[in-house]
Amino acid sequence: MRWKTVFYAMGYVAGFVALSSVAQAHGPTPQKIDETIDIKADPKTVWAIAGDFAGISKWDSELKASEGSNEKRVITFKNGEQLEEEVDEYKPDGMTYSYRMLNPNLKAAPVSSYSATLAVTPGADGGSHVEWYGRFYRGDTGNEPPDDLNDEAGREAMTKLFKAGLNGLKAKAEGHS
Amino acid sequence: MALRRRLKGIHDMRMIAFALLAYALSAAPERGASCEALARARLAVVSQDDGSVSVIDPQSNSVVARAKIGPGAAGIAASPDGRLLYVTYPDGAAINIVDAETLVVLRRLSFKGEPFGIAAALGSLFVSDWANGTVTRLDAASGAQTGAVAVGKSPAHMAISADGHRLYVADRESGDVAVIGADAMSKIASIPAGEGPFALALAPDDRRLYVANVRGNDLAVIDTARLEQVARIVVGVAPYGVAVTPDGASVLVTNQHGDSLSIVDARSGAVIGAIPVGRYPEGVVAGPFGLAYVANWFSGDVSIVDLAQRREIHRIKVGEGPRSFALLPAALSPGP
Repeated sequence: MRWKTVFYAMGYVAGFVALSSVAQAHGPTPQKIDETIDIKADPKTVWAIAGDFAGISKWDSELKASEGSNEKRVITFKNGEQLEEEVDEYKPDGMTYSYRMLNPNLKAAPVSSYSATLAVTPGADGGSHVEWYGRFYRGDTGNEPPDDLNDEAGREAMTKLFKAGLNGLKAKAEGHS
Repeated sequence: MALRRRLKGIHDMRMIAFALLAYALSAAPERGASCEALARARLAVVSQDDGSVSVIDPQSNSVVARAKIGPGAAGIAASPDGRLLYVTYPDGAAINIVDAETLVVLRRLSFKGEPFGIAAALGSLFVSDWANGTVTRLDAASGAQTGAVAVGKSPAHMAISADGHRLYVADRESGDVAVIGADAMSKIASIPAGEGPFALALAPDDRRLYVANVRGNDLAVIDTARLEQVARIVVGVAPYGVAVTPDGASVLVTNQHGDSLSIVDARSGAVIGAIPVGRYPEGVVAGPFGLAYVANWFSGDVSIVDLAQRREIHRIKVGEGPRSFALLPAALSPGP
């Protein structure tokens, strides 16, 4: 009897937590991310790799798989958790695309929403400059987020993903991997 | 009946004409229908990351004042006389009252919840609570709560009619616009708007309400007399801010994820241009001299767009993370 009550209470709490984390898809303070890298390979070469929207896991070591098209992709993180991302604008002539996350999965990344742009531009000495930037909200947009879902946690996760991607892109384009 | 009889005399007709003229003049919105007043208006833009407000003078298109007013400032509104600024802090559960001339914080009001959108009328403030789905009315002088009403989910920006009696609230996560009677603080209607309505703006005559649907990539046009949607116009990616030019002819929409400003012809609904601006444009306001001002959240600056030429003519630096504007009426200018 008592266990039953406890069980229901736990179910209620779990349900509430799940609901409240999904309910507030967007919150108070948007966060900025902006990572860049210079690559010793011409923009065409770099774009041939980076422009394959669904092929991101080939150059971002934070991901173990990715699939889709130049319109939509599903990315799988090292822990097996997935996120779906949809392209808003894909401009091969400008060597750039913009996309955004669809539904949040806090186990994949502690953010409730994000959008980002990747752009390849000519760099020094025939090389390339790549910029990957975006905007996101922390995982828990309430006023007292836990440590693993606050602005800092979101920033750390997004930075890790973007930095690993740009380093991997550089290695691949320069022929180191 | 008695009134009809009275109308016959030519003297009475003149009185009626006079009354109508007086009414027309009084109905002119404070938002700046008069070109002269608008020409001397100034713009305040609030920067969330920098926790500052910058004041732009359209005469020189430069920042004439800038001050820290507390970290995390997001929404901003000006008092009808242009002397005060009201600023929301969704992360700080507070509203600051700022002197628009000195930019000194005069008072901090605590607010339970996540205050985001803010609108000011004569004597009253209206604040949307993103977390709790309500709009609260505060006495502008004392800060005391004088009313509250439940709206939809995640209420964001608001627009208030020129007479201050009606409030429109964009309910982002329930996809509608709540229409509130501001005197009784009661909900008159809930009008479906689209996917993710976030920002909205009224035409100068208050007859049309334009609502930007951030996930729908379109603009909903609402007839405020019939309280229904009459058109839906596709704009750019993630429309995040809306403004209407003082003549009511053009609707300006920022495309947050398209780094552009769309100009929509209010009469035909045609999109007559998409002008490149800074990164992640959010708030927009129509200033004097045919110019529009766009707050570029990511690039930390304001794009000044010539609407006739359809291009950006200046870019001015403000505090990091600019989000929204308030138009400061000319009354602020020092008197004789």
